[in-house]
Parts: sequence; structure tokens; C-alpha cells
Amino acid sequence: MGKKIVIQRKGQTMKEGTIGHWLKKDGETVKAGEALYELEYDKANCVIEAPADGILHIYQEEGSTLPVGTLIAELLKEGETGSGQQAAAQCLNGEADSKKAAAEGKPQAASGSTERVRATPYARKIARMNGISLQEVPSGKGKNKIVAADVEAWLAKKQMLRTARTEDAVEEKRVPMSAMRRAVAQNMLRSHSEIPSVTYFTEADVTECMNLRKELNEEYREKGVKVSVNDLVLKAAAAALKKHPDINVSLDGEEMVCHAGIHIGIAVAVPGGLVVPVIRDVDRKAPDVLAGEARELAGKALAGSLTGDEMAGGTFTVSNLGNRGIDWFTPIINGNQSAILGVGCVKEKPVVLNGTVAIRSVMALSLTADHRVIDGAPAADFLCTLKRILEKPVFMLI
Amino acid sequence: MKSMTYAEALKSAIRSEMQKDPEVFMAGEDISVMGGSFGVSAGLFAEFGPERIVNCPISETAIIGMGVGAAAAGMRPIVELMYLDFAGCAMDEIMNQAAKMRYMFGGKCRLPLVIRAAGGATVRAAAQHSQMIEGMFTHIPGLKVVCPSNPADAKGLLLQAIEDDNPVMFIEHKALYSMKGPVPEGMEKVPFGKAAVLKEGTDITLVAWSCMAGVALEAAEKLEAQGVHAEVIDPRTLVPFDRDTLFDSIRKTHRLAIVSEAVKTSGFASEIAAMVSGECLDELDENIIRITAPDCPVPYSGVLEDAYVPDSDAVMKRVMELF
Repeated sequence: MGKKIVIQRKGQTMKEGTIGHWLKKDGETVKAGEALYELEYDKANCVIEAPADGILHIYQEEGSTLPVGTLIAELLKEGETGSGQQAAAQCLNGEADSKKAAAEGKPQAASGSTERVRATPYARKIARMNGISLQEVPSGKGKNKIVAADVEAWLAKKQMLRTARTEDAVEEKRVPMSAMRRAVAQNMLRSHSEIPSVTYFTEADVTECMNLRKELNEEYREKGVKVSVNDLVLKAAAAALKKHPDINVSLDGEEMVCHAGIHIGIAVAVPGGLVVPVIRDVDRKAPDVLAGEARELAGKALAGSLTGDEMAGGTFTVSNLGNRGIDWFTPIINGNQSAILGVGCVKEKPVVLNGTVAIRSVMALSLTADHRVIDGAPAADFLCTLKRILEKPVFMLI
Repeated sequence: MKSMTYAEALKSAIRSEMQKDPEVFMAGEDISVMGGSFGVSAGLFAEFGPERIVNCPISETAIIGMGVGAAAAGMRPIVELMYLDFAGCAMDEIMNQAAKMRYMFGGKCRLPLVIRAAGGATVRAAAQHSQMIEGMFTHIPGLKVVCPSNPADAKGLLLQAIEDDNPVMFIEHKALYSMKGPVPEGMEKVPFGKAAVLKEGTDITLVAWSCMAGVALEAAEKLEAQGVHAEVIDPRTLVPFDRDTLFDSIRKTHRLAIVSEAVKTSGFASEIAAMVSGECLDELDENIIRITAPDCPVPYSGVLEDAYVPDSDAVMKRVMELF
């Protein structure tokens, strides 16, 4: 029996995966442990290795998005015949997912709904090599089948169209959504349509916080660690969450889940989308450790090498648009969490302090909370505690 | 190079081998003073005498049986069957003795036997003297099957056949004996399993051997006038068969027509079609065409016989249906 290659579940929330690139060719002899293909899922990419030696038989093309458990290839021995696509339904390790996908009308590996096109073997070969479907190729005049010349003519025409489009920049372009784009769209739509949310705004005088940051960085200079404003916001948010456990919750059906740990997601903008890696137990981590972890996760995010686990398990999220000059915004709650903090930029502003006007560093804060589980008063109390900690960072200690 | 006929080229090969190797001798009907039904051995009796140009009684079984025994005993016999159709009488000697002996003796026996026979139609010889049944011999493991299409190949392939240590069915064509062409004068052999590309082209590959090679070449010239560039391949030996040259050609032209004088069903054209569809299908941009004789005996009537054998116009017309 050959070794079946199916779309593996890499993270808890993963329902489907996209074959980014096959790194081995159909028919190639592959050794166990060699890189087989790139898998895109949720908001991450990873390389899947061959689980065994064998000759690779590819059943699904690059770019196909398929439910977890779908058979996409097999590693067979010389002369062995594969179970092919028909077997896909039987080897699902997440059968429910595939049923759900089928119910939603998503493409299934074993579906054979498309009508067979009459084409010569050589025409098929050319179409296959150029990654086009014969369905789209018009058949030549006077013939009841597609021959190589028809495919070549179609390719030439497509090439001309493509060239014409790039020359004429006014024309719109249609690009299929990437796996990441679709994941972001799906998550945002779900959150925005399911959660009755309220966004609360305030400002915090972070002058002392900025001084603390300077002192910390002087202290950490030898270690080469640099604590950012956001790292201090994370630390302050964790301290505030500890004081307000009613914010660090999730709604699960009819139950409220009060999380034991404070795991904060940090929204990281990457080319083509956004990912939210999670830092665990923020309240228990020293600023330098926190800064190091945040840096590492952001780096992985940009490299596209975050794993599903590194993005799972958050209980609260911080989204910072301060370095992009934004004051306030209304962030959308992430995942199954109940609140998200939007951090705006730090500006020097005139502030009335003890009856006189002083120039102070002020940070804009926006908190979006799920009104099903967090009412206005506790949300406001949490935001005020956070503001107080940011204004007097010594409160982080108590 | 010397200009000579196909029959003279064959004689030249036999003569050279007989001069070189005293173990080589000829046997067959009417081959001594008469010089053979097609004149191939004319003059050899005078030169080599009755010990080496052995006239035989009318028994194909005896002639081939003697050849098998002589070859197994260490001689290098060239036996002449006259008409290829007569192989029917000697089929046990060919199929069960000549082809099997080396295998059944565990390789301890060499069988350097050449069976020469004239096949093919167009000379008004009727149904029992006109068949091209070369495909039947390719179906018997242990036999090499050679079908020269011109004087130079006739000589070069016969030299190779006589020096081969295995039984060779050397199938000549009646319509080719008088064909003239340049022939190398020395002992230059044409290797088995090496096809000749008679004409290069890009649009379709025509495969043909024996008399049909010339027909295909003529058709290719007519196609050229219509703007279709056909490549013509003569495999020269059906066993062993030169797949590489054929597959390389199909990778270039993506179309294949096989021209064969044999009847259509179970002919060697079918084997080539199967070989290509089994190993080279991806390169085909049209259905494989077999242009053959119809599934019926060769007619005696001249009009019908001419209609029976594929000619260059028939080949051209059938190929043009693709373009």
C-alpha cells in the first residue's frame, strides 16, 4: 500500500488548506523527510515533508484549496497503482469538515462534475504544462476535438490579453484572494456580524511611561534589548487584565470561559494581510523577555513561518497603529476573544496638571468590547485602570 | 559505391560471405544453373559448385529442416524459400525448431541460419504467391525479421544476417529485385535495430518498410507540394525494432501514419501503433493512422491488385485528411 498524503490539520482552527507549491514533480522519486509541498492555511505557510520513500503521484494541483483530510497525493512503490481521488472520501481524518465543506458547496477532491473535454493527448500535455484547463480552450474549426494547435492559439491569445492589460494601466485587475486574505476576510466578517461591540475611547498621559522606557533601555543596553512603547502597553494591559478578570473572557455557547492565563495577541501587518501571533502569560514576563518574544514573533510573521500554535490561544489582542499616525480607531474583536485594545500614537499635547498647563506625552486608546459579555461599566473600569497604569507605571508592580 | 539492382546487391553479399567463410553455403529450389526464381544466385553455381550451391527438391520442410540442422552443426546456411507464402509448409521448422533451439538448449547451441524469402504483391502472382506476412514472424520470439527497402540496405543487412549467430527471416520484395541504386562495394554491414530516416519533416511521421518505404517517400514528396512536411522512417528491421528513432520523430511531428502492405488486422503496423500509444501517447496530436491492404487475400486481377496495395496517392489522400 502506498502512503497517502492528505491536507493535514496544523492548527486548532484550521478547516482547509491551500497547496502553495509542489516542491517535487509528479512521478519523481522522493525520500522520507524531503520537502514535498508548501501548505498555506489560516494565516500561515509551512513546508510539509514526505512521510515515507516512494514515487510521488500528485492528484491535486497547486493553488487548490481543500478541506482538511483531502487526499492530494500518494507515495507509491514502483509498479504500484494508487487509490486515486476516489479514495479521498475514505481517508479523511476530519470527516465532519469535509461534510461541512460539501454542504457549503466547496470543491471536493472526489467530485467529478466537470464534463470530459475531447482533446488529443498532446493537447492535454501542452495544457498541463502551461497550467491551463482544457475547459477554457475553444476547439478549432472543423474538428470535434481540441488539438495542440488550439491550445497554442489560446495560450498566444491569453498572452496577448495579458500584455495588453499591463500596457493599459486603467483596466481593472482581478486577482484571486490568497489563503491569508480569505482567512482575514472570513474572521473579520464573522466577528463583525456576530458580535454586538462597543468601542470606548480615552487618552493616557504616558510621560512617565516614556521615561521608564528610557531607563529600562539604558539598563538593557548591554543585553542588546530594546523595549518598545507597545511592549509597555502589553505589560500594562496584562496588569489591568489581572485586576479585571471579567475582561479576560470568552463566550462559548451558553457559557462564559474565564481564562486562567493572560495570553495577548499582537496584530502584525505583513505583505498581503495581517497575522496575530500570541505571547503567553504576558503578566508573568519581565519587559526584556516580552520585548524579545514580540520581536521574534513579528520576525516570523514577516517571514511567513509562524505555526498554527503560535497564533492560537489568545485571550485578548493589542492592535497598534500608533507608528502609522492614527489616534483612534474601532478595532474588530479577534477570534473568540471578548475585547481588543487599539493603541494610537503618542503625541506631545498641552495638559492641565495641578491647575497649570504642561506639555505632556499623550497616547490615544480605543477599546472594543463584546457587549454580550462585557457591559459598559466594566469596560470603562478596565480602560481607566489601564490608563492609570500607563500614567503611573509603578502600578504595574501592584 | 557501385550502381546495382536489389537482386545484384543480395548476390554481392552472398558471394562476399561465401568467399570469406567456407562454412557459408546456399540451399533452395532452382538456385543452381537457373540462378533462382528471381535471379539472385545467378552465376554463383559456376563459381562455388554443387557442394555450396545446393539445389533442393520441392519440399520447404526439407529445405528449412536441413538448414536448421546444418546451422546447429556449425555451418552458416543461407536457405531460399522462394515465395514467402511457402513458409506455411515449413512453419514447424521455422517456429518450433529454428526459433526455439538456442533457448531450449540453454544457449549452448548457435543457430546462424538465414531464411531468404520473397514477399509482396504487384507482380500478378495471385493470393498464394503475393502475401506480406512479415508480422507473423515478429510474433515468434527467437527470430530476427529483416525487410530491406533498397539495394544498399539489401546488401548491408544480408551481410549482417549471415554473420549473425541467430536465425534471421530475411524478407525480400518481388517488386524491388529490379530496383537500381548505389551500393557500397566492401563488406559494410547495416546494423540491425537501426532505422533510416529517408526524409526529414515536421508535420507527420510516416513509417514504412520494404516496398512501402518507397511508396511512403513518394507520398511524402506529393505531400510536400501540398505544404505538409512528412518525415519518412524505414525501420529496416522489425525485430529488433528501433523505437528511439521513431519516438524522437513523433516528439517532433506529433502525428503518425504507418504504411504497410500486409492486411490490416494483427499486422506489424498494429504493433507499432500499440508501441507508440503505450510509451509515447502524450506526444500524439492525432489518432494513429494505419494505411494497409484490406483484410482479404491478394487479388489476381491486375486492376484489383493495384487497388489492393497502398500506393502513394492513397497515402497522400489519407494523410491530407488530417490537414
